[in-house]
Amino acid sequence: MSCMKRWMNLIVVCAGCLLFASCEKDSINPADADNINGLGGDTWTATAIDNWINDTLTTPYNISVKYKWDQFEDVADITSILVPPKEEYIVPVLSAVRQVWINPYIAEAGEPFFKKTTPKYFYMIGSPAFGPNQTIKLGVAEGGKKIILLAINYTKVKGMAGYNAADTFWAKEMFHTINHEFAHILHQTVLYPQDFKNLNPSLLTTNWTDYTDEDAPRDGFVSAYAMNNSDDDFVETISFMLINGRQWFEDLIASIPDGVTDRGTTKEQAIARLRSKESIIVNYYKQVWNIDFYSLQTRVRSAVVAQLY
Amino acid sequence: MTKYLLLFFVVAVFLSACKKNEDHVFDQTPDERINQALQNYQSQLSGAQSGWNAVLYPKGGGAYFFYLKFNDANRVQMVSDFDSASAVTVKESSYRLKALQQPSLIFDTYSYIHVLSDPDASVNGGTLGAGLLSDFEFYFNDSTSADTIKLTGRVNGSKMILTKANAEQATSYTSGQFNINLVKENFSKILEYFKRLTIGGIGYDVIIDPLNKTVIFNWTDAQGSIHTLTTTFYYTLNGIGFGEPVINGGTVITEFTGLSWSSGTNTINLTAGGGPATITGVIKPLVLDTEAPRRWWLKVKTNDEYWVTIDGFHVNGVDDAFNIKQIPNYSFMVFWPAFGTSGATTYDLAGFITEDSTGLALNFGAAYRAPNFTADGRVTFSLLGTLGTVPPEAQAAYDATSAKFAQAGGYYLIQTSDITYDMVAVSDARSWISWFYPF
Repeated sequence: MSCMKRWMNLIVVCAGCLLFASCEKDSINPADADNINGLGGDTWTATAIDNWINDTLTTPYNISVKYKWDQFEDVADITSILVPPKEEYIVPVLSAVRQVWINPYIAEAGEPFFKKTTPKYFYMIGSPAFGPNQTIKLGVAEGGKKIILLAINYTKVKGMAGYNAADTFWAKEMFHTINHEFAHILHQTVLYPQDFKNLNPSLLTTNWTDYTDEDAPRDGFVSAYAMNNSDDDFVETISFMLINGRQWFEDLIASIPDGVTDRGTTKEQAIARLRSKESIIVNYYKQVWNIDFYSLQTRVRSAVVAQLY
Repeated sequence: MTKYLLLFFVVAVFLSACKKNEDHVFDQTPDERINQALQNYQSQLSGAQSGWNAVLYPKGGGAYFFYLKFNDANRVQMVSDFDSASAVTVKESSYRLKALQQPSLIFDTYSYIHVLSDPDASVNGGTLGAGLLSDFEFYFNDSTSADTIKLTGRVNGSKMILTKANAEQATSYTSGQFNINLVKENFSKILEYFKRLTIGGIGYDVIIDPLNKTVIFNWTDAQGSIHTLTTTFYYTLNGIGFGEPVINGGTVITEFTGLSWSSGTNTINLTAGGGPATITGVIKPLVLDTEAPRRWWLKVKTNDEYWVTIDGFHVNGVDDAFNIKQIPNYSFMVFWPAFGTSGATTYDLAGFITEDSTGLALNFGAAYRAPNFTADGRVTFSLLGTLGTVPPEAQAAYDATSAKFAQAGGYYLIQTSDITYDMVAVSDARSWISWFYPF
C-alpha cells in the first residue's frame, strides 16, 4: 500500500512537471515598443513655425497648437469637407490671438490665473465648415480643453500681404470665438449668479437661427446666438463687449428703436436687460476672478484695434 | 488503479506537448514592416533628385498636372497647371508619410493641391462645400514601382500618378517656364470651331473644353466605323497630355507636344501619336450628329425650360462679339422654345435677361418661327419679330444677335456634355454660341 502511494506521488509530481514546464513563452522586451509606428504622436522636422509656437505658446503657457492636417483629429460635430491652413497665416494669426486674448488676461489677472484656466490645445483648419442652409462654422470648443479654429486661410491681420478692410470680418470672428470659448471655461469653473438665468428665460430658443444679429438687441441680446441658452448668452455678451469695446455697447443700446418686438419686448425692457447683463458680468469678473472687467475690456479692444485698423 | 494512473500519465504527457509554431509568414513584426515600408517610400520620394511629374485625376472630373519636389525634411515644392499663376510660382508646403490603414502620403499644409479640394467654390469653381471632389491624403497602391508611384485619395478616391522627372523638366518647372496658355494661344489662332488633327493622312476632330479639362476626339477608322473618345487632359511643359489615349490601329495619341503656329498655311504644327501632325480649321466636322439639333431643342421644349448663354455669339475669334454683356444690368441670354403665340404662330424666343429692382426680368427678345430641322443635321431660324421694347442702349447688341440667329444656312449643334451644346454657324464655322442647361 505504501509502495502504491509512493508511486502515486511520483506520478503526480512528474505529470505536474510536464504540465507546467513544457510551454515556454518569450518574455516581452519593452524596447520593442519603440518600433510601434506613430506611438507618441506624429513627428516631423521642426520648421520656424513649429519653433515659434513652441517658444511663444507651448513653453510659457503649456498650450499646444496643431496646424498640420490630421484626418483623425476630433473635430466635434463637423462633418463638412475641410482643408488645412496656409503656412503663411499661422504665425500672424496666433500672434494676434496672443495680443488680443492672452496678454490682456495676463495683464489683468496674472499668469497663474491664465495658465490654470486656458484651454491647452488648439487645432487650426484652413477652410470654414460649410453647413446646410448656407451656414458656416468658424470655431468650435471641446469641453474647455481644446479650441478648433476654422477659416484660417481667410483670417488676415494688419501687415499681411493684401490685407484690406473686408478681412476684419474673419479676424474679428476668430477673436470672438476664442473669447467666447474662454468665457465658457470661466463659468464652467465658477457659475455666474442665478439672476442672469432669470433675466429672459422665455426668449431663449434653439431656433436662434430664425433671428438676425440686427434684431437681437431689440430683445435684449448682443447677438442671435446669445438666444441659444443662458450659458451662450453669458459668454456671447462677454465676448462682444470685450472685442468691440465699451463704446460699441453704449452705441448698441442707444440704437435700439422704439416699439415692441414680435416676442413682446419693449425698448425699455431690452435696454434694462442689456444693462443687467453688463452689471452681472462686471460683478462676476470682480468677485469671482478679481478682474476689473472695464479695464480688461479697454486692453482687449485696443489690441483688436491695433491688429486690424 | 495502476492502469488508471498510467492512463493519466499518458494523457498528461500528450496534453503538455505544447509546441509553438515559430514559422511566421513574415520574419518581422507588423510594426517593423510598416516602418520599413514608410522608410522606403520616403527615400523613393525624396531620393528622386529631379522630383516628380504628377497627374491628379479628381473624383469630380478633369485632370491636373503637378510638378512635385520632396525633400527628406517634410517639405515639398510644387507648381500646378490649375491657373497661369500656379504654373510659374513655386510654392513650398509640408507633407508627411504616415501609417493609416495603409502607408499614406499626406499633404498637410495648404498648397496648390488643396486648391482642388477647397470647399469654397469661389476658389476652384466647384460646388460649395465640396470643391472639385479631390484629395490631399493618399495611400500608396501596390503597383507602385521605382519610377512610378500610384496613389489613391483616402476621402474621394481620386487617382494620382507620379513619374520621375528629368533634370531638364525640373529646371523648367521651377524657373517659371511652365506656360499653360501655350495650347490655348495656338488654338485661338484657328478661327473655325472645328479643329482637324491630321496624323499620317488620318483626320481626327478635336474639341477642347479648358474649363472642365476634357477633350473630345471624333474619327473614322480604316473600316469606316465612327469613334468618339471623351477624355481628360492636363497641361505639360510642351503641350497637353491626355488621361486616356486615342487608339486607332497602330496610332496611339497620348499627348500633343511642340505646338507651333504657321501663319502661311494657317496650321498648327505639332508632334502627336509618335510623329509629326497638323491641326487646321475646317467648316464641317468629320462626324456630324444629325439628330443633335432636334435633341437640343426638345431637351428644353419638353418641360418648357430654356437654354442659357452668358457670352452670346463668338464671331471670328472674338468672345461676345456683339457686346451683349455691355447691355445695362445684363444677366444672361436664353433660348426658350415655344415661348408664346402671336396670332396663330407659336414662336421660340431668344430672350435677354436683365436684373432690375425686383429681380431677374425678361423684358425683350427676338421671336422666331418654329425652327426647321434639316435632314443633313442643321437647324435654321426665321425671324418673326421683336417681343417687348428694346432699350436704346441694347439696340445694337440686339439687332446683331437677332440677325445672326437667322443667318442663311443655319447651325450645327455639337453636344459637348450632358448639359452643354455648342451651336455653330454652318456657313463658315466661325460663329458659335455655347449653350448650357441650367436646371
